[in-house]
Amino acid sequence: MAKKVAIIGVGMQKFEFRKEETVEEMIFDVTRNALENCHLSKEDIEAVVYGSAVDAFCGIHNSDKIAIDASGGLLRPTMRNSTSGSTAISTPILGYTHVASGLYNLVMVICFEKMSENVAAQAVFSTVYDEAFVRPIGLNVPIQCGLEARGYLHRYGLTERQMAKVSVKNRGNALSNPYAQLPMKLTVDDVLSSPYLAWPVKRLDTAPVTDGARAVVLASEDVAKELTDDPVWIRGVGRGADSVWFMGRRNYDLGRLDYAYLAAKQAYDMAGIQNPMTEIDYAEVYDPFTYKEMQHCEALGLCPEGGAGRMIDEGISLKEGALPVNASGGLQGEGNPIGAGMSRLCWCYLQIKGQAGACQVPKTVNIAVANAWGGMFQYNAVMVIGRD
Amino acid sequence: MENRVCIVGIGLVESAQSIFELSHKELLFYSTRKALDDAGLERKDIGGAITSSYDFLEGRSLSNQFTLDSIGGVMKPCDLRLGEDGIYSLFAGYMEVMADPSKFVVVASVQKASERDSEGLGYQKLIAASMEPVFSRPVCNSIPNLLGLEPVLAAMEARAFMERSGLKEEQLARVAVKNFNNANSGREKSAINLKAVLESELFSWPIRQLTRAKEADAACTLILASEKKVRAMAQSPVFIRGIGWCSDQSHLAFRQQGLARETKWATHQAYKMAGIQRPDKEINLAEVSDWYAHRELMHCEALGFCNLGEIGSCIADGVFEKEGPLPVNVSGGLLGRGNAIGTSGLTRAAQVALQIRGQANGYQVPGVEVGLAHSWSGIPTATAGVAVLSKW
Amino acid sequence: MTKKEKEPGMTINGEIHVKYRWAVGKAGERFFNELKENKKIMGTRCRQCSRVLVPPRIFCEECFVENMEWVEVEPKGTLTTFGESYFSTDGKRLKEPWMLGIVKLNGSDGGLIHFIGEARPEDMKIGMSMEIVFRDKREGNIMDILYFRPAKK
Repeated sequence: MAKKVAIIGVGMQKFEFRKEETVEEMIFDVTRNALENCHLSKEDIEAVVYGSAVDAFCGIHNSDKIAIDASGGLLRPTMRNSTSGSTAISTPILGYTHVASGLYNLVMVICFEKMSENVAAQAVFSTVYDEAFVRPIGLNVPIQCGLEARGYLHRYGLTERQMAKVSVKNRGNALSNPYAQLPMKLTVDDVLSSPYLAWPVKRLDTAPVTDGARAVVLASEDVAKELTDDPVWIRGVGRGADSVWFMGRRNYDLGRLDYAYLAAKQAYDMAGIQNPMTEIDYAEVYDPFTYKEMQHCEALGLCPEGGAGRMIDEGISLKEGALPVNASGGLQGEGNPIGAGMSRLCWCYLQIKGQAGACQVPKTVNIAVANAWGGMFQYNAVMVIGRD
Repeated sequence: MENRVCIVGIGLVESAQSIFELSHKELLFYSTRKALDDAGLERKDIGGAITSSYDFLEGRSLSNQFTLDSIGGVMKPCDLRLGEDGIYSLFAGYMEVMADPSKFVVVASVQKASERDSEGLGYQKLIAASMEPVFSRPVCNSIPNLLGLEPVLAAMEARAFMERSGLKEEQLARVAVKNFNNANSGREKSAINLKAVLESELFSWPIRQLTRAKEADAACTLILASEKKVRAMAQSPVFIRGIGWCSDQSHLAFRQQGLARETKWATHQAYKMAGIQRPDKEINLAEVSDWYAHRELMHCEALGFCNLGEIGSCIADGVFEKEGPLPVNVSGGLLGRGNAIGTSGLTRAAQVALQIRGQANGYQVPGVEVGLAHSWSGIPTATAGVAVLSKW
Repeated sequence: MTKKEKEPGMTINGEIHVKYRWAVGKAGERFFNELKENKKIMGTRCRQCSRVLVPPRIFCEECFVENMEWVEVEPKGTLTTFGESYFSTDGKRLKEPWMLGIVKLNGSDGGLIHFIGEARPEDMKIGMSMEIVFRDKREGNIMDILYFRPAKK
């Protein structure tokens, strides 16, 4: 029987391009911030879980080992997870498992990425493709996403204009976010006239490359209740993954994220949520590209399948809307340091606690959902958190 | 004691030779299929899967996405890959089963050393690449030949260990002789004797060609399940009684050289969980990282198999030999079988599990009830993991 | 909308060069040999579920058994999606874009990703019929395929 697990605090820091700090310093900063926010010291931490997607970005093999001292992990059990973009949520899920198993009562989860030191991020990205069937062709991330986005818009009749609205929303939301790299006041026309990376994805549909880290502190029920009288529980976790052979999946259409629907179902079943559209108060979904926010809203059941266009057109996902999505600015506004996309989870926590500062949405938030996506159109990890 | 976690399926594909004709996806399929067959399960029974691999070792970033199909993970919650040695997937799998005892969890790892830089520099460059890039790496990159880096780093800790323990080079060499002979059990006697080891090519004293494990290809898959689910199954389960893992200081300069502190700390949790107080008496058999001959001895000390001052007499008395009271690396260890770096920790666990089941054909030690599998992630890390397995 | 980049602090440059030689495996070896010698696209059919897999593998990831037979697959199929890019290798902007597409091959449950040639982005439509154009000089890798082009009637 799984033990109940709570999030008792988060550690934040600014996302920046070419952050001056080294990986170690970045991690130290966010660990210290998390411990301060929880009123704990590093001796209280029983285990540490690290998440970082691609060592090749920072050029340090086993980059987490460099930061053992900096994160309270010295002579503690530490484990490093790496599942591409979905690292952002699969890592706190690993942290959750540490506590739910009954083995640990207090776990620090740290997600980080330092990618802007890499002079040729695209060349690094090419190493994520299958060496025999894909790499020689020279696929790159913008085209990979162009392939998927085209399939998506085609399947459901959605438009670039709707994608652009997501960018305007999120970058505008980021103006209230002190940790954001690139908040911007934009119009739909600004986005539509930005240069194409690969149709339909334009520069202003794409989250910026950035450096940064996030931390989350997890506690077992007993410890959480000692430390706070308002714990935020991890109500549901879900994970889904599809075949590496994306050219020949059951569902030819990259537009429908079967594996994301699967992950969401697992998380909602565990959380006892049957109608996310009415039962979820707030969401932070993974939006490295604007169309991904739309796909994920559908897969997470925050709008009907194919209904993401309508969702943004009708203002449902605006900060003041009925179901706000990415009031922090999401990856679009904050930046996308791949592993540290755990920021989505951190903001869900802050919104529930009423600690989101200028990003706080006007409605009451009791239950929120966060997700992350990665791999070759492959992975999705979902977490539902909230009060009982 | 609530539901314990067991190993119910074992699939190991190892080879002394490079496995060129199979891709790593195919290799991992074979070990997974073998494990499922061993457990009497099918893909539909899989509730989750965890893999471990190191991106740089493979030359693939996000390396887990490529092996998803091979672990039966399509459209399943298999989105977990650890950038750690294979034994860590056992640890994570253990926790998954404890959190949800209804699941069968596949834990797997594959490494093909044969795919790395044929000039032999592959792993060396990666060691340089894991050194902290501002203060340490520029020094490492300036050495005349990168082939010398790893042996020098290994030699530094070996010298410190020999200083602490008073051991001589010959005693270290005996570890290598033991393990090469163990690897050849049942077949012709190994040609590798003490003389051969001591005369093998010197890399950096006391690190020699035959006191340093060669790289190898391997794939290993284990299937874990809760005790409750195991009752109706074909194979007798192997219980995971205790697990522990740990990392020490990342900066070499701050560590205590010659002492495997991370292993010592990893045992704390594992022995506590397993209720072990006298490992030297209660452990029947161990598979311990012998990446270098001196490391096997450092680890025996850290695991509590003997005190520092007793190592010499343990070697002389054959305590760790196959017929001794605490056989270490009866399979031949990494020295004897080759080191599939990144997977070898999990293969240690598989070897111990086979011994407990009585299925170690050709090198079975009689009466193994409690065994220990140990993993160390290699120079320049200070990361270790330990699992205590038992018959009941 | 340019933003002055922050002056970087002290930095140290470095590179990591590691060479690899990845095994293509049993399935890959047959596939690339047939491609090179015979200009054929080969798939593997799972005897259990009858799916024909391209790229071929020795096991079916659904049935999870090694029970396959080799079959030839038509070098023609349906375009499931495509994308174009104007970036050249040195980061400059090209006048004419290059295109990649994913094509589901007829008679298979799989497909390939490759360049699209002899076509302009405006002419491309999801669902259109495409055919493979092979290189004259082939080496036994995926680049033995030159590109997909719209199928000639």
